Amino acid sequence: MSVMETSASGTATPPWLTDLRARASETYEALGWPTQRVEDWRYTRLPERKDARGPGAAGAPELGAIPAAGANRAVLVNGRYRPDLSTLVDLPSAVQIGGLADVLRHDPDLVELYIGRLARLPNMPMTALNTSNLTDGIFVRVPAEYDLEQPLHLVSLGHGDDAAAQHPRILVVLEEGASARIVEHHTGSGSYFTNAISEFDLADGARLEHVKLQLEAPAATHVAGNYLGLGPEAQYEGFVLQTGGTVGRNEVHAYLGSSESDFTLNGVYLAAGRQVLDNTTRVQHAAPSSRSRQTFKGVLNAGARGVFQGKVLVERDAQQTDAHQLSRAVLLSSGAEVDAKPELEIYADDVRCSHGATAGELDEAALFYLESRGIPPTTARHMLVEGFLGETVDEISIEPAKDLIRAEIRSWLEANVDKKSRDPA
Amino acid sequence: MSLLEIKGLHATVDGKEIIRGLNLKIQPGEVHAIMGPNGSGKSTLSYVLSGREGYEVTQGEAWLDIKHNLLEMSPDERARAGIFLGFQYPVEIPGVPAMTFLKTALNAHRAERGEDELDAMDFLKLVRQKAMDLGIGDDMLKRAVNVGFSGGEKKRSEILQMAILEPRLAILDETDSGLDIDALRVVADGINALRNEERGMLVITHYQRLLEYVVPDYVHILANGRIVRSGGKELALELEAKGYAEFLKAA
Repeated sequence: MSVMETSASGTATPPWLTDLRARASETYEALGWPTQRVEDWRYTRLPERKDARGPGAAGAPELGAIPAAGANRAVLVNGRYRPDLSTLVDLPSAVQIGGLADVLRHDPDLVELYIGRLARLPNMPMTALNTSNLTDGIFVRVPAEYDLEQPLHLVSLGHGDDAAAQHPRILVVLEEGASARIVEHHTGSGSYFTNAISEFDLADGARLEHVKLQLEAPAATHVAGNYLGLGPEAQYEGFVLQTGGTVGRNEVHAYLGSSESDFTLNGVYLAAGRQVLDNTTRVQHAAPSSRSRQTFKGVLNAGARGVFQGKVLVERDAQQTDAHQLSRAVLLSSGAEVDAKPELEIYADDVRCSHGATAGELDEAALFYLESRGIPPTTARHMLVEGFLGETVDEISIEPAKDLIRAEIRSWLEANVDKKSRDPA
Repeated sequence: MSLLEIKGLHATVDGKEIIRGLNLKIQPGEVHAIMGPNGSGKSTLSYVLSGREGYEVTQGEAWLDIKHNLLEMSPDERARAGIFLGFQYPVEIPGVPAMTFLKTALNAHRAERGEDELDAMDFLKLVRQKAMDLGIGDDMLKRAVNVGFSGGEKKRSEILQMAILEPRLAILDETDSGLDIDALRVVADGINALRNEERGMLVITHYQRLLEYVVPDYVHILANGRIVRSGGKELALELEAKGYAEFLKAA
């Protein structure tokens, strides 16, 4: 048992955590709020919210309006775990799901083993800022060889105005041969700022299907880092949907440090108005014979902007790496824009790597073909966009999440895409 | 009462005049063939009638069933009024399932006529029946619109769409191109099965071959954007024997 100190609020804080927060705070202070002068943030201006520290307004969030993506649901409100809003049924006692603060109280050594191991601080100001605020979150641990078949719905709700900042934290540990399906769902109301960090530690042969939904309130700002570590023969199958917030940036950092691991990440982003949606990924192949696949598809209307920065790093020892990434975007308006920067950095000599990026308008010939069959122009445009996104969405294996994503795409199209797309106001 | 009446039509593409004073009347139940050399304006006519962007009408009129002023309608409105264009090169649309496409198109037509949408079972039955007649199997229907179809399959898929949408006037643009003799027969049988006393057809073709199977009531020769000669089905044979040169001199 480690020695505890007691904080002002009366909860015991293990010394390693006090130390971690202090280091995070120092790192954040040294790096400062990210600006476009930093290469990583060149394409996305993150509205400055550094003084937004306070938790958002309390109050009962509208959980009823959130469609369920699994029988088991764990809920954070402004980063705090809410057992009263969470529903965890039919779970064997060996599977651990609950509030991070609670685990920190009862089993801090367990948390210490994993937290911050993947979400490293150097050069990552937002990760440091999240970590300096670390008190609560969601903790999930699936024991060795256990298959958590039921999708687990992790909901993070934000509330509040411009002064509200939340730093949700999710830690998922899959032990050897364990498997799980997780839907990470970010939403809320107001103009709050979300700075989320999720860590997924996959041991040997573990398998995770993960859907991340960035459906924040329209006036909110969302920044997130998903950190993944894959053990030997571990498999990750991920999907990211971004359509919320005025600015949304989802970073995925995958470390393929053992051989024979398999990483798939697809994404869809839908942006309208003056929204900026950014997907930044970094896949590091550090051991032989691992595989990564990424396909991101964006649909941009009005004066919206999309960003895809995908870096695949293949280290010297990572022979027989097989890595592909593709960014495709459809621009529905002359004012819409996408910046795609797929990047390969390869130090091994026996690898198969490729990348590509395309951007263009909807196919006029296809539109005319549909219209010549009596299909109204608005419907025709919706069909073509759904067709463009369709095969990527079809690959999602968590059925309730797939249904939810299809419904989101449809309602986005209803709200944003009519006969002729609008130019920016 | 004319099914289609075109009066003094002029149309330009990229500022260049392609149709130069075209007149044509089609009565219900009639099949008209338009033949002409490359560049005579055959495909332009089909796009002008169906409303494709980039084909600008500078003069003239086109009326469907007397009441529909075609040139003032959008492509989808024309289609729901009863115009069907069989494409020379049907477009592949990845990601859009053929069945979704057919159902959306049919229901748009039904809504126009004030009819309820067809339910999934009735729709499936309708499509299966019509597809079988054209030798279109379930595997083709399961794919995305025209994606991975051979030339023959694409043309059969066009005829299937026509059979489902039951247009007033079918404009068939070079439907015979790229078809071998067996495929041509299947497609022609499909077209003939849709001939009736109400429906009109405008068959656009370069060669006489298709007209052996789809026998027209009238044949028109198009040259330099104008109809230079009209006649019965024997005109196609005369053209085949003499070639276009003879008729171009007249233009």
